[in-house]
Amino acid sequence: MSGPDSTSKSGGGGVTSGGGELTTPGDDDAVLVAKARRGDADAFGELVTRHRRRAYQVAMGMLGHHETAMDLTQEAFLRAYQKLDRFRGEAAFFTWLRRIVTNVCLDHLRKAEHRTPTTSYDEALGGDEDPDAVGLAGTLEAPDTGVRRKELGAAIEAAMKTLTPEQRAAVVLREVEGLSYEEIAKTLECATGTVMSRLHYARKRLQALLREHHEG
Amino acid sequence: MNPNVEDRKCGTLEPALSAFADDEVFGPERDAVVRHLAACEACRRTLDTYRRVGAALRERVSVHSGRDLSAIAWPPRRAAPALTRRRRLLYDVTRWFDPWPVLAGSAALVALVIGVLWLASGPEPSNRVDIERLDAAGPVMVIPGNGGRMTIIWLFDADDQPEPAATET
Repeated sequence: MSGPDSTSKSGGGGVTSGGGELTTPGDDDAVLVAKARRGDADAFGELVTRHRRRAYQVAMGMLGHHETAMDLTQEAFLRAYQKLDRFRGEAAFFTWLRRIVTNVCLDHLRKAEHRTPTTSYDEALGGDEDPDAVGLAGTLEAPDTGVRRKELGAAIEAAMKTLTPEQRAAVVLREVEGLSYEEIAKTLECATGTVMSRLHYARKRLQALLREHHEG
Repeated sequence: MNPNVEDRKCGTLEPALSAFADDEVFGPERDAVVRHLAACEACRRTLDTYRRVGAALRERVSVHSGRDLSAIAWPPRRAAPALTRRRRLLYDVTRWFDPWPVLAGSAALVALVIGVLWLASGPEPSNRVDIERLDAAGPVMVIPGNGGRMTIIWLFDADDQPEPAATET
């Protein structure tokens, strides 16, 4: 998941940086960060190419909307570039970037929530641009066929939109990113007990919505 | 958490079950959850649901991330939303009806109206009459008023009145 993006412009070789150094896809993230700090835009471009897919997955998981996820991933990279001096290299670059992506998405969701306080499950399901989202929610106990999984995925995406921004973040960081409770707590700057609680309530809600929709 | 979790009812076990699905329950507590699951079909189904929901979400996100993401690039090919937000607010008429712009606009309008009214009213007219010189020969009646103001009524003597013009006979 974290491998180099197939659309990398430097996929076939190196690109010359502003300072005359050569930025190659083989460069370590830390090397690229150091070059970017010295004003090498190509080095930061390589970091973007390398991590955009995974960053997008976090945004897409939280937002459930392709265009918005693209916009906010781009904004997260912009913020990362502006704050590059604050990155101390204690954690991996993506760990730091993931925190920025999560915060950008949380800000967006909180503002959206302020404008339109609640999204019902049916609104979320019916309002989705994705054709997979139309139809029944899928059975939770049904056998795992491809169609069932697709339907269930669309239903879950819609159900996610009814969760609070913090619950969504916890679910995505756990289920999509596979982070431990401690890592989620660090990313969201809260206690591990809070993470446990958010995940518990989020799962209960998802389960109830999907079952209710299926039975209704 | 209570290590005797197998003694609890299913409802009180749920938080531990969610953590168990994430491999975040350890030691005796984990053993207790395992024992409870062995005896409780409802909780086994719930656990299975949690896992299937997670797998479906991962698959869903994975499908989306198969799209072309080359628009996310450096330098940015399109302006980030944060940079264009102010411009959007000005030009997108539908956003004028968002709560904050409406409130801000209303407050500005009320302030403007109050300011115009205040300017138009001007200074308060004064009823006070300043008397710099009072050399009345006759009796003067002074009536004290509010705010240190006085009403002075000069009582003219009959002598001060102009004499009627002599008429020729």
